[in-house]
Amino acid sequence: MPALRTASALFCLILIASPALAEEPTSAVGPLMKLFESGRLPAQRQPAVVEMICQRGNANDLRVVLDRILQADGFVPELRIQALDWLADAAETRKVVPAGDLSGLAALVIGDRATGQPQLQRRAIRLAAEWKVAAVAPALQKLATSTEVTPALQRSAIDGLITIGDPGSHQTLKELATAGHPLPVRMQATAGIVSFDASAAATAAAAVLHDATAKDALGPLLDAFFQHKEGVDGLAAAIKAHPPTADVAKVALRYMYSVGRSDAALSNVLGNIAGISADPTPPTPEEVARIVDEVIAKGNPARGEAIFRRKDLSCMKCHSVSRAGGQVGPDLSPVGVSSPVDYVVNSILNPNLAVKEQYVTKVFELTSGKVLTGVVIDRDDVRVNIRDVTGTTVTIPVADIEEEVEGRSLMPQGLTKFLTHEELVDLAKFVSELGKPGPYVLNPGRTIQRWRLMNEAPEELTSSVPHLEHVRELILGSDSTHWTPVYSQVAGVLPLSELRENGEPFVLILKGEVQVRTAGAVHFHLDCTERTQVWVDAQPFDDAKDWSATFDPGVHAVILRIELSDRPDPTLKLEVSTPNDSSAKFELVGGY
Amino acid sequence: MKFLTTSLLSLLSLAAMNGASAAPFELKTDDHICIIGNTLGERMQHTGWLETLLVAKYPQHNLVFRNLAYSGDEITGYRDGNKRMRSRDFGTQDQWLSASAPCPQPDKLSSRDKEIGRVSENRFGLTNTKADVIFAFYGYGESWAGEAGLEQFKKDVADFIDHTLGQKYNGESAPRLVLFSPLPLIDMQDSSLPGQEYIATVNQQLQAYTAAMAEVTKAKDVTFVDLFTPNSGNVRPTPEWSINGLHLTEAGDKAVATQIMSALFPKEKIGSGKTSDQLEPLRKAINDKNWYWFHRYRTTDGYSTYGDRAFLKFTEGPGGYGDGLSNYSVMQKELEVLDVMTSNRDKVVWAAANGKTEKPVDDNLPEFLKVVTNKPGQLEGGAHLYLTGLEAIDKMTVHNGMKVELFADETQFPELVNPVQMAYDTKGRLWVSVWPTYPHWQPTKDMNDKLLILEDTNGDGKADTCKTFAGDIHNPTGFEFWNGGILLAQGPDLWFLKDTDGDDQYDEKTRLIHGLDTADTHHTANSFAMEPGGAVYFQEGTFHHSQIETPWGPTRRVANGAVFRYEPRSHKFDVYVSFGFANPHGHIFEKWGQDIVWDGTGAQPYHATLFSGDIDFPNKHGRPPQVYKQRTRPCPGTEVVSSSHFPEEMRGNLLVGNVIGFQGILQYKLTQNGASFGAEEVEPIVFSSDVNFRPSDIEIAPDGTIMFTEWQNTIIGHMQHNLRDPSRDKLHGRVYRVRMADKEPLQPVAIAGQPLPQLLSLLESPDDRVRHRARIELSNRPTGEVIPAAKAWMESLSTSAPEYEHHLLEGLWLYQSHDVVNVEHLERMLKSSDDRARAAATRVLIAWRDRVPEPLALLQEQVNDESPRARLQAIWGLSYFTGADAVKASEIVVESLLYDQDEFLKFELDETNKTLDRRTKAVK
Repeated sequence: MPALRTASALFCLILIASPALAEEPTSAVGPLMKLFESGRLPAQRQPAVVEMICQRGNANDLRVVLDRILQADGFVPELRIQALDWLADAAETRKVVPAGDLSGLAALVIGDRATGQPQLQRRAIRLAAEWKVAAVAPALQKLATSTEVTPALQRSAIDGLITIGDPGSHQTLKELATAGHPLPVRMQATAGIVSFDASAAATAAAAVLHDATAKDALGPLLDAFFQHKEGVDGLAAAIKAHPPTADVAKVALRYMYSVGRSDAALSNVLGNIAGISADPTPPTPEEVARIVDEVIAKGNPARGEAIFRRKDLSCMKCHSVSRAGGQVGPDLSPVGVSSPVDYVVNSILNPNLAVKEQYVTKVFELTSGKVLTGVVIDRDDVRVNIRDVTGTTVTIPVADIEEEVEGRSLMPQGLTKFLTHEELVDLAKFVSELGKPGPYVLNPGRTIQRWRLMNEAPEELTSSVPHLEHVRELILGSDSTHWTPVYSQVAGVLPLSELRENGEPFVLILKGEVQVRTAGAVHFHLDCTERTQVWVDAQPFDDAKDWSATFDPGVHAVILRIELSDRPDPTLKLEVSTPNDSSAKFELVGGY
Repeated sequence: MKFLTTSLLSLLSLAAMNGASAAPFELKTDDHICIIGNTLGERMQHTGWLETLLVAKYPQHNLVFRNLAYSGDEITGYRDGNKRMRSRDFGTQDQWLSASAPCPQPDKLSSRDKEIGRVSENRFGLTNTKADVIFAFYGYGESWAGEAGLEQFKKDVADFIDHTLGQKYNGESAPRLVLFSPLPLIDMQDSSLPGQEYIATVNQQLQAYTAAMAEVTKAKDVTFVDLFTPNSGNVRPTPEWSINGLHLTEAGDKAVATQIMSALFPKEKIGSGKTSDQLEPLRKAINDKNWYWFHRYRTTDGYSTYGDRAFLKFTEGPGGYGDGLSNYSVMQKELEVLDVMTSNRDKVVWAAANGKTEKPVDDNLPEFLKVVTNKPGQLEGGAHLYLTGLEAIDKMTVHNGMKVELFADETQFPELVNPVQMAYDTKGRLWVSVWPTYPHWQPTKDMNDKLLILEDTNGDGKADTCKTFAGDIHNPTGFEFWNGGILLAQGPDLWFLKDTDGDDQYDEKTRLIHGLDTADTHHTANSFAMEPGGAVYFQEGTFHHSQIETPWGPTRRVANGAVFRYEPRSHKFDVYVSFGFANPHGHIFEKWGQDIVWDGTGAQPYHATLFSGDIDFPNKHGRPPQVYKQRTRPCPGTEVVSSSHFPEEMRGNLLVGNVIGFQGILQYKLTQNGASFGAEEVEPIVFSSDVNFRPSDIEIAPDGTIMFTEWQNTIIGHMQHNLRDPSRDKLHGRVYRVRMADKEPLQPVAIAGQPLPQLLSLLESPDDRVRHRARIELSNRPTGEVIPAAKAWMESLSTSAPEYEHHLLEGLWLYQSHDVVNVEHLERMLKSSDDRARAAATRVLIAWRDRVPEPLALLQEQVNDESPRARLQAIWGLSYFTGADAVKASEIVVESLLYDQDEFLKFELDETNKTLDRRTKAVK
């Protein structure tokens, strides 16, 4: 039977492929294919060539790549995995799929070749879904509902169902969204339902939010609604009918503002549940003038800096100061020098009043009904790359764009509803002082401004000073999802009390990064060393106050472990310099 | 149904009858004549011969001429924005012809704008266009579509005629339309300009397109003037007619105007019997009127006058944005003033036509709107406190071991105001372009931007004299020395100014390039840089839409950010980088001819090779990896430290100005990084705590010190204040120099007037600016003397000199700048032992690709070069091939994949492939 199936698949392939070959469609990668098949290409150069074939080749070219993937020894394992991703990109962005029968891919989704190779399997799932290989749908439904597979595989399977989008998959997603499944599964499935049944998704989402706590990550679920034409208002109605807790509403409200959304219906519903007042009406010119007078007369920039740093306002998710913070909006380091107070106040209250040329946004409505907003980074005839409000680069296939219009500022209107009047005055004062001579003058770039704080550090790191193996494995070896960015103040000081709530956590693990360009010795000076341990890369330094390390070019990590004592107002400032006799040249890594 | 058919038939036969007996062309009393179309029409307003002959023929008719022609416009421009490119809300062709256009964004006006009389409902209401007659000059740009485009062109001509005759621009009747053909390309008998073979090919196209226009106009019974045929017979136009084979000189314009008159009025004698001298007062009056019209129609800062930033509104009094006057109401009022001044000069023209000399009477001008500053200073009357040039030094922090000295300021030379760009000439004198009218000239005031020459006559490090080379210029955003004169940007045109009698004031001026957009004057043609091979580069920012005609191919078009490349000797003009810049400012060529371009707004530095591969409009390049991560913004100007006055470890460092927050000059060490560059910041040269300190341009002086100009202005933002905010300073400007404190500056080397062997030996100098100025001097010398001397110099070089390969490269560049192709030497340099020279030679190969045999075979070797930077340049070069060669290039370029590929090579390959893909698709 297996033999027979192979034979018929082959027959199929010949049937479909031969007329296509007879037509000889023009290939943009003819020379590349020649090179690829010439045998001149060294093994280590293969990946670049395969990637380019996938990026630019036609259906016949991609068939050659697929056949290599399916051959047992066609590619080394790593390239096989990469090639699956590239084929998926080709299908998604350029709408090109290999010629001929595609069902052979099923062997990498289920069966012997799939098990034990989770990376390969997950990518094969994505690709099979992108190609809508019908033979794979039942297998995905099984994996998606299984309680025995890893969460990662289950996530991939659910994503696969969302992409395949046949009636069976839709049914499975609706089932997965119901109570009884783990919350992350319900959220993912619900987000998937938005694309084909926004109203059912809204009802399901209200139920999910009802069962959620303030600690759950609500972002991806809410994003699915934000990215749908009519999604948000439906969600608002459903939430009104079936409200979550005040805490969850508050987190959801913060989240929507942090991604630049201030849709009235949803923000009102969430605001009511959370007990936060409705959107303020835009101020009249007289009110602005009055606020400006107050800012000048009694604004307190120090208090303003603390407000600027508050998580619920998300200012630093988009704006950097002294190279620390997001890159979505303008860097504010020198803004006080070029912009009068009035401009600052107006920009906070009405971000759409004046937008500098490189921050003008575009809104893309896709044929699927999805709506994406961002600043165009670059574009060609196939794709548009935009930077969205989270700073992420999103690629939009030109073929999917139905409409493109000029958008509004990515900065949400109505942020001030999270502020008291005095707080607004202080915030504006702080911003308008930035860059002026004094405490908020441009930071010369010799203190660590962007730290990474480890989320929920494991016990091996907290209970006592960890040994080197644990430093290597649990700190240096942990990926970016385990860390949250935290930022020093303009003058270089990180207030540690901001990093704790109710005395938790007791131990902070912080990481700063130094990008060394020219090798040499670099000197560090830490202002307070109470109960603090220091490692540079994996090397411990006993004197935690002043130490030097010799670096090769590259990015190096400075790790601090701080047991917070009862210091009333603990702070941290780490200065980095080049000793006189050192040839080292370095930059301190900033950004988001 | 039957009735309909019959009446259609009778209409058709009526049309046919009209065709058979086309009425002779005539002008009527009070006719308004609008000229539309391409540069042939545009240039006529500056020389005025056609208008002069027509007004002289009809002295009693009170004719009104308005020239709306615009570099690069094509016949479908009335409906296709890519064939009549303008910045936002410039106004459509129909709006201009009918003198009717509303405020583009009335909802954004403030309550102050809406007070009676501030904003007119019709912003073209006083233009006096309202065309009764249209002269349309088309067919040159269109002809580049060749044989394949001919049928479409015929359809486009027919559509244009139908559309135009379907309008009532004067409110009453269809316009009378005259279509004009292009001229043939003219043989300039100059080896750098189009030669006979090239001209023959182009003229074949032009002839076919002229014939197409003749055919369609005949069928449509529209008057047609064929300028091609009379100039292609036995008597051909001479080089005196043109500046480049395409664009006419005044003599050419006069000759063509005469031909037009005999075509329009075949039975009459021309020019009402008056001699040219007798016509001169009339022509002068006409050109004066056209000067005002030109500054109205082509007003600069359009984006802030009618485009999106016109609708920024400001507080009247301390503040920022508010409900006070917008830019729109203020700037439209200025345009109304220009409209009325133009119309007042129509009357002077009519008087002159009747032999009377009248002065224009401007007693009827609308009043300007008074702008109240939103940033008053603390001194009496809102004045701002400015430190003197010397006092300001106390506020500066200087690099360890260096000191700052004042070279010149406004107290000594009051004309030194708002210095934009500077450059040293070969006599060691500092030229500075100053911009007191910034952001642009206000009507009724003096147009008095200047090009100054500052000279330190006694060598004490301070300027002693200041001469005004040009005192009547406008928006001089950039300049460069060339061939004994000056290439000067005055958007929308690039000019050549020359002093021929040695009094250090220009006495000759020529418009060379048209169609550079000026939507935002501080985004306009700036940061002039000359590559070692002699081409001049300059840049423009977003909002801009430029279209430039060239004898060398189709109209060059680009929107929203570009770097241009111009070869002054051959008049070749190209878009060098098409990229979505915010506003590029800063461009340097390092010692080996590699260049870095800065996007000034964000101060991002880009290695230009990564995004200057050829690309076809309207595509733009992707965003390349940056040279370094900038720490602050924005950047107005840049330079390379290459001076024996400073410590050797500084050589090759980048100097980057910065004017907000950090106000000073940053310094970066440039390093090789794979196929491209990296850089790291080192100690800044200087920075100031004076909030008005704005270092605008930087250049190494002949004595090796770092000179910088300083704009000195409390206002730096364009967006935060009204264009006419009175706090925009018009009184201050400085030049400083930075030197080692304990070391005397260098003795400048003599360059101007030196014998050739001396100049050639200067090409061995380690200091970039010494070589640069020697090259400028060499560009002025006769090619016939320079080339043999260069050959002898190269032969005399010691092969063991440490910089031997670089010297030979200078030799190659000298051939390039004199446009003398030397294949043997090129091939020698493509095989140089230094990969930097190989990459540089690849750039020369691309410049010469039309005259080097088998350029693709040479590039194939470079693509297989062991050096990543040489491969990078070869991949770049392969993007320049078109047609069947593009197919071959796409086969060659993949060979680069046989070798290691870093992010730069990958980026370059992707960009080249995109261009070649588009072209190969078109071929297949």
